Amino acid sequence: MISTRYIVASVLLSFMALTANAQVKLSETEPAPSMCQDYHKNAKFAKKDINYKYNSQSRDALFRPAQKSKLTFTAHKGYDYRMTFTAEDKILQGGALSFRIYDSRTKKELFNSEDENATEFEFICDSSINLTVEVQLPEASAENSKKVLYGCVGFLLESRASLDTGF
Amino acid sequence: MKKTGSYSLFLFSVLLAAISFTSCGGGGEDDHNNMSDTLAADTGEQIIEEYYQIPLPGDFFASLRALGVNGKSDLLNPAENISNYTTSAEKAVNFGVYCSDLFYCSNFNQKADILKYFENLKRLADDLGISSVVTDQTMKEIENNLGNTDSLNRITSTVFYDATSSLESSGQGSTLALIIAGGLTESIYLSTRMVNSYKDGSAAIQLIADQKFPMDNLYSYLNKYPEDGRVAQIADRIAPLHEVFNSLTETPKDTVNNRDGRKVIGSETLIMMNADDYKKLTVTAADVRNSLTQKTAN
Repeated sequence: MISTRYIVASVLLSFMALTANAQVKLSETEPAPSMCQDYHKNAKFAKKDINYKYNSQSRDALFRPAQKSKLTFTAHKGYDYRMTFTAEDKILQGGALSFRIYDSRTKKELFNSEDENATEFEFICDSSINLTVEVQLPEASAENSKKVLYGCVGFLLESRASLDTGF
Repeated sequence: MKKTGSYSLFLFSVLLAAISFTSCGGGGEDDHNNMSDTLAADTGEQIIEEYYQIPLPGDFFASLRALGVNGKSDLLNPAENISNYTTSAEKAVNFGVYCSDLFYCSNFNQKADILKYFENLKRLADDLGISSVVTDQTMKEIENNLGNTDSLNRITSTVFYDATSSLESSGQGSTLALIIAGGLTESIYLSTRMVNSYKDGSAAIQLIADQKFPMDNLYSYLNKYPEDGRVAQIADRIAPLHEVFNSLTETPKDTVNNRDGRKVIGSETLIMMNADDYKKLTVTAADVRNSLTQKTAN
């Protein structure tokens, strides 16, 4: 009687253990979404304007303090663009994210946020171009220098067909 | 003896269970900082990550529509072609092709078996290991919104973004590059079929010529994966299309710095496409697209 109970308990425990492991393996084969997915949707332009729509070249990514990263996108002739960044406080730590924009082909710098202390940028595109945005995060504060931090950064890009204004 | 044997089996099961349950692991916490243990082993040199963004086909089609371009029927990659796709490269590329087809349907109000195309996406997503991007819930939402082009556009965008996120976060950027290659090729093919006659000064023709820029970004993206044979194979197949764009003439243009109080930015040259160029692009786009969507002998 006692031995039968042990056998039944053993079989049940083994079955539970095996199925738990199988479930873990199944979930491990399906990649998890990025932890920063849709973070850029937290960004908002300070200035109100009309007709701008979400541009699919927006993106987000995980960053560390002091990290630099580049993103290249296409701006099309006849369109206006505006871009802004948003980042988690834990990687900004009171500092500011800076960015510069240059022609991907000629490497000519077209805008530097530090020159104008800017947090967002807008422009009219008069001939299609690939632009590279180079983003730089501030250094970690002294008290956090012994800790490695990560946080999300979002790049929100919006666009509209250029408006004809004036007579 | 029997009792001892049963008891040993029981103890063994408890041990097995203990090992299995503890190896299920943690997770489910917001764990950005726990990554530091593996990534802190970076060298002192800063690695600058580069991202290459390519607009979704939906953005391109919306721009063409705004320029007065109308859709045409019978241009899509037939849904039945899915049976041709057996390798992971073919599946990834045609996931992108079918996404582009769905954006085309929703932007140009084309009658097509939308459900069948989403079923194809689901099947290909399952094969690519990203089945969570097209779930039964997604299919139900599609069924409820078959007549609503805005919703279909939104759902297709969501599928694409979810696929992007899943593949990037799992280190499958090369598969994502193939998907994007399929989507961009299909959108260029469809645009040359919709705008089937060349007109000098046409804004639509200029927009198609300017697809050179996303194509350049695509190649920069593909070049990030030199070790992946699938990427090399697809890059070779698309190369003739890239070469046509690279052969287009560029003429210098006047520089304007500001307009309406805003900065003006643009390339120092304008891409020019004449009637012969456009004919060449149309033919090449069809050849390249068919090489990706139809079964070819390898």
